[in-house]
Amino acid sequence: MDRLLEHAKSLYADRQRVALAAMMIAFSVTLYLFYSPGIYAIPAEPPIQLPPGWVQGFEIVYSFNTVGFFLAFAVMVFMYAFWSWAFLPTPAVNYTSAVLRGIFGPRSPIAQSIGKRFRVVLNEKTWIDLTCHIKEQGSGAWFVYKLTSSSLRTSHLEEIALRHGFGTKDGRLTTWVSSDELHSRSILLAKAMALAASSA
Amino acid sequence: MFEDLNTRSSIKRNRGGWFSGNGDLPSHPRKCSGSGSSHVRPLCSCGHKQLDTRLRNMSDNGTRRPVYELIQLMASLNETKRAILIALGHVYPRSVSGVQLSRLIGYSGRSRSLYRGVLAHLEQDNMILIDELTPKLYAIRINVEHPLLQLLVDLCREFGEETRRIYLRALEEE
Repeated sequence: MDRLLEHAKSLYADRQRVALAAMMIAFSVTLYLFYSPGIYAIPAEPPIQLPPGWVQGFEIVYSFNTVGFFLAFAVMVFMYAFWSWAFLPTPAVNYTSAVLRGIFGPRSPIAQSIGKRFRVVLNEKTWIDLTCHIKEQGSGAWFVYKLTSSSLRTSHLEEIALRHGFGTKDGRLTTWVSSDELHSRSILLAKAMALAASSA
Repeated sequence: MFEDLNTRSSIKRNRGGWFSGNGDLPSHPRKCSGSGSSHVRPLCSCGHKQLDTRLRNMSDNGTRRPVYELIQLMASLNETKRAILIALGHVYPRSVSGVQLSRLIGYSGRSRSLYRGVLAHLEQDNMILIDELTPKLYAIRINVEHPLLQLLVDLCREFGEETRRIYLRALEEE
């Protein structure tokens, strides 16, 4: 694996640990904040005759405090999910754009957008979309990219895809590549797209 | 005229030998192209003659393209994928299980992560076929309908007899 990616990997693991620790602290703080001021029970009749202790416990659980606490917890989980979906560690961004810049030259603009996505614009009508997965679920491989071409209008798309080892989906060429294939496979994809454009 | 054809065919033969030597095959093709055609083993000369004519036809029609495309495809894949395709191309009519495959390509990880990662990607790109025999047992084979891999399998069958034997022996010992 590339040195930059190694760095990105360790950075990501560190940040994940920091995020977990921060979440544990935030969890206990919210727990304290939501249950210390007093219990605002949702008015309800206990279903059956219970001993008074049980009724009190029931009131604590079945209260606005619990609703608020769960909402706060959900917001925390959502923020963590958003963070891990949206951002790629900087060294990995540098690696990706360096590789793409190296192949496609300074004249094709590379746009990075939220959600670990990149778009290389080859000319007005064609572009390549890349989505990076920091850690692939299932295989546990680090930094796997999904390459998708822009929609290609040609009747030979299947054949072109086969002859370059790509799959097709909705008139686009798609493939999954690992980080060490990114360079060679993007060249091949650009070549296949040029072929598709000329055979249209 | 005849002389010219002969030199051409030896060039072609070299090309074939170099190409099949790409996938770390043993010295079989080199042995053939180095020695004169007088004492070549029958099977071998026959195989080479077939490929010679085919390559000549290809170049005459301007269709050496598949060879170029196959080289380009193999060069664009990473080590694991390349090793998988070479191994599957050699054992071709046979299909292998995930455990066997990971042993064949010297994969150190678990075969489950091979399935979920590399093999799934290769299948999406139509390069291999995976049949589910039972929920835990899969039969993996190369996709011979694929125009380039068909060529790979052809080349392996013509020049890779020794390599195939090595792979098959590795498959046998259980």
